[in-house]
Amino acid sequence: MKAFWALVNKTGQNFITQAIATYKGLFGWLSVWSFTSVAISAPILNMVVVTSVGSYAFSGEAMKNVAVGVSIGAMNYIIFGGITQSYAYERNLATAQMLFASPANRFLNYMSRSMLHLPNGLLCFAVSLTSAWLIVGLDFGPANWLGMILAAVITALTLTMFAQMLGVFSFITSDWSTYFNPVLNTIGILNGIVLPLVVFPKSIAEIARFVPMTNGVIAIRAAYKGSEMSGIAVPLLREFSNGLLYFLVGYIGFVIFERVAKRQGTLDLDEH
Amino acid sequence: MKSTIRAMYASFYNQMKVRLSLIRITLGLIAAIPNTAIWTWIAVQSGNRDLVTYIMFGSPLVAIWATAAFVLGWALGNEIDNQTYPFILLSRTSMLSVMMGRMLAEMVLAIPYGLLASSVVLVVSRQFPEIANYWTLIPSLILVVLELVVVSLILAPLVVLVQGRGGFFNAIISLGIALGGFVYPISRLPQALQVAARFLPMSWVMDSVWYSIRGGALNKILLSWGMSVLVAGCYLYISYAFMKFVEKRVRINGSIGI
Repeated sequence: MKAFWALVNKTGQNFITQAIATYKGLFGWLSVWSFTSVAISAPILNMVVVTSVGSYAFSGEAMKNVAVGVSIGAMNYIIFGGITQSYAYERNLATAQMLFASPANRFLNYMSRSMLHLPNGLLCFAVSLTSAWLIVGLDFGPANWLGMILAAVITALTLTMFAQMLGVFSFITSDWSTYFNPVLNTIGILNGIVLPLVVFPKSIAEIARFVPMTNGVIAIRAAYKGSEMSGIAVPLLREFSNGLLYFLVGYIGFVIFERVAKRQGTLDLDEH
Repeated sequence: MKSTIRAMYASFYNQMKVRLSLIRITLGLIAAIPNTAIWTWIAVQSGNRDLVTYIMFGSPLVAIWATAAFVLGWALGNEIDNQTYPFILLSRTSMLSVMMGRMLAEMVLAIPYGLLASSVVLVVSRQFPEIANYWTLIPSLILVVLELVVVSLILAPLVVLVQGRGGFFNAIISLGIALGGFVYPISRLPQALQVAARFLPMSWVMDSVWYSIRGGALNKILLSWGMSVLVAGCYLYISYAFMKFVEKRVRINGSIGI
């Protein structure tokens, strides 16, 4: 029993060490200016842009509905950017070899990479929601706060899993910036934050349900309007199951890449 | 003068060579489609035909601004990191003319974004733009592209002077989009932000785009052009002073590490 707890303790320590090391060493926006830019300024300015252009078409409750969606959408940039760049830098700074040579548990290592990025997303959400409250005057009177928090946490979790999946792609190509904006913007049009899903053909609207955030946006809007937990359970479950799917695909890719790289004796798969 | 033009052409050619990657341009274009579609959709919902036309011309400017700020912003820092800055110091060519060449290349590279965004607006809105005055619109658009690249130019020495790291431009790019008036007239912003926006030359010239679409008075358009050129001139002067400052610091330190 003692040996078991020692193992658990050691595993936990390794997990935390890896989470901190990958975050501090491979997250390029971790300076005061850069972090403030992404986590504070960008969500506020984005809210200003969307509400300014949106005020032409939306007013009253419709505008508030968009603003709540934009608030949860604020998590996108920092989570995607932070995680995908850390995988690319793992290659560019030549630290991937250290991992491949170590006997560290790959599952825990993969999990640890997103741990400290998740709170960043929630911070962006909080900043954006506060700016929405100040700009369009959100009314939190009827809101189901527990539902809103749950929706934000589950959406952030799904986003980190999606970013992890894309991160594996960065790991393979050692590049993150080239496809970062196309992916981010494509998700932006399909997640229903500004464009309601009903404007799309049925097939695309159904595909959009597999895009990260789409179900989270539905849930948080319902919670903001005061819906009971039972009313937001289905979209939240769907959001969470999407996250699990991304996690599975990403982890399989992570493990396969290591095997192929070891077999070929090089990390540059594209050259072979 | 002849040697300056030659230097500008060389840096123009170099910038084109570095940036002309089919996959990068294609992905950049793909990235510009969703936001343009969203803004157009909002404009269509508003029933404001002038706004649809405004977005048709303004939305590619968002992509151009983001790219120019990022690419030109890192230009000097990359020269230092890649150890090519000493060649610029050894040469008698001014740093500003080298940067101007790059700036022109960015303007040429902006053309596909403009064409694509216009097509997206046409497809989403299913309406042709109605423009009251083409003769003032075209110079306004040329001026706004020129000015947003001039503003980007100041970022190159700035990032070196403050030792900016990755993510340095995130807030600056967002600020430019919010205050540049690319997708809505500046008058739409809260009063305090309207004042702040006037420190960007793009906000002035975007007024002239709005007047050209709606048929505003010529004196208003000329005033917007004049103010935008004045503010852009200040940016150009500050860029020059910053670049000289960087050069001076490097020469005094005797090392590239600033």
